[in-house]
Order: sequence, then structure tokens, then C-alpha cells
Amino acid sequence: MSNSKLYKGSLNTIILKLLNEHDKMYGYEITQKVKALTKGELKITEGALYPALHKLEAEGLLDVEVAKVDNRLRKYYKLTETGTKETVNKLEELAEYIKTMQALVNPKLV
Amino acid sequence: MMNLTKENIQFIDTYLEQSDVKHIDIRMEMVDHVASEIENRIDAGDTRDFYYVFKDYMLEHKSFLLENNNRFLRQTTKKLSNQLLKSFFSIKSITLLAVFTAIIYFGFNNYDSELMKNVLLISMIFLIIAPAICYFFALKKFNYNRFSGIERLGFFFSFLLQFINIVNITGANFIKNQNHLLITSIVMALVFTFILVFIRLSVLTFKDYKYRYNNLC
Repeated sequence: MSNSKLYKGSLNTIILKLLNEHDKMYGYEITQKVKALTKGELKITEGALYPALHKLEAEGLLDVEVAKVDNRLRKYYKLTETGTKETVNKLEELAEYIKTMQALVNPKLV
Repeated sequence: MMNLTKENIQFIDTYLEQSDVKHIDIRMEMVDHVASEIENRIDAGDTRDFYYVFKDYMLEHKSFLLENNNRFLRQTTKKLSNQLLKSFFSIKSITLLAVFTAIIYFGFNNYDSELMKNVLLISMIFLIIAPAICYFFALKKFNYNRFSGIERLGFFFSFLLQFINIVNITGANFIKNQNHLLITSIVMALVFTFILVFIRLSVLTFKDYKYRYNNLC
């Protein structure tokens, strides 16, 4: 991930936000979607993505579904009910954080 | 969009399995990720044979994939430990513990202690055989594929066996003293409660894997 230290804390929110907008997604699809949305600025590595997905799954925020696609098995992730609620909280937290940072870095814009 | 052949997918799967990614629930996700990236590279204009694209990818990312494997296993162990503790300290389990303590204490006070000891030992053996039978059927159901969560249950199972072994060795003389009957009853009840909580967790874990990985059955 580029600028990894800055983005690291937001990875879970990014994942939750994407899954909130799509019914279900698989790991590689998430990396490609983030890359496309940020025009290549943000690249999520598998070393960061999968541990985050598994942690969110273990916390009960994500559910897993396995389907056979293109000669192989694919693991899809989707939000659970708790995950959907948590996404709202996380996005609010992130918005608040961006606002605070904006006030610190560029007070004229606030 | 280019799709890899069944043989290519099998090659990636075998490579990862031989690189110590033993559990299919972890490996299937890695296989899909590697295959998707190779297909993407070929679609983007890499004209080389699959094997060379695969080799390049692995040179760059193998360590990440193996680290991911270890992290996944740690995460699975943590998840199961939390479930086990939560279940063990639930109101249901505490009630069960109280009921077992009362039954065992009553038994020691009204029946021969040697007979009680044998009854408890046979019950324990019977109860710890149950998860082993569950595991056998789960393996058969999943076509002998290895799943991380199901295998991690084995870690707790070993702990359980060791605990029972310690209770059995240290309790032999302790049990003969009438003053120790209450403590003995509590320890025995703890073992029984833990076994039942463990069996419940095993059944729930098997059901969960069966629901999620139905495609492999």
C-alpha cells in the first residue's frame, strides 16, 4: 500500500465501505476496485488485505460464501447485519477524523 | 478475459500445498488471488507461458502469502479461544457446573467412592471420544480436506486430555479424604462442563464449515 502509515488505519473502513456498496466481493476484486477508484494511488497488498478481511470475519462483521468460478473456488465476503451497522459508525469516525485533520492542516478551508 | 485452465489451477494449488499451506479454507483464497493476478497480467499483454508469469509472481509475493497463512491460523485460534471462553463463562455453563457439582457431591456422599470414581472415569472417556468421532465424520464429509478451524479444535482437545490426565493422576489419593469431597466434586464438574462446552463448540464449528464450504462436500 502506498503511504502505508497514513492508510493503514483506514483499511477496515475502506473494506467495509466497498462491501456496503456491493452485495459481495472477493479479495482480488477489492484490491482492483481500490486501485481503480484511486487511479492507482492506493494499492492494497495481499499481505494487508487478507489479514484485515479475516479479522473482520472473526469479529462477526463479515460473512463468507464460497462459489465455484472459472475452474476454481472463490471466497466472497459480504457484510453481516452487525457489519452494516459498524460501517456507518466507521464512516462517521473517518469523516470526523478528516474534518479534524483538515482543521489542523488547512484551517482556512474549514 | 483470459481464464486459466484446470491444470494451471491445480498447479498453483499443489505448489501452495507443498509450500505448507495445508488448510484448504486458506489455500483456496490464495489460489484464487494468484490465478486472478496471473490472468490480469496475461490480459494486460504478458505473452509468456503461464509457468513464467506464475514464477515471477511467486518470486515477488510468496513471503506475503506464507505470512498470510500463519496470520490466518493465529486468527482462527484466537476466534475459537474467544468462543470457548465465552461459552464456558455463560450462565448456561455456570448452571451446568452447579448441577454437576451437586450430582457428583451427592454421589460421593451416598455411594462407594471407588464406584463413583469409575463411573466418572467411564463417563469422561465416553465424552472425550465423542469429538474424535465428530472429527472422523467431518473429515469424511469434507472429502478429507483439512480445514484450519476444525484442526485447531485439536489444540483444545489436547489441552482437555492433559487436564483430565492431571486430574486423574493427582486426584487418586486426594479423593479418598472425606474432607476433600467438595473440592473433588467441583474439579470433576469443571471437567465435565468443559467437555460439554468443547463438544458444543466442535459441533457448531463443523456446522459452520459445512454451511460455508458446501461446495467441497
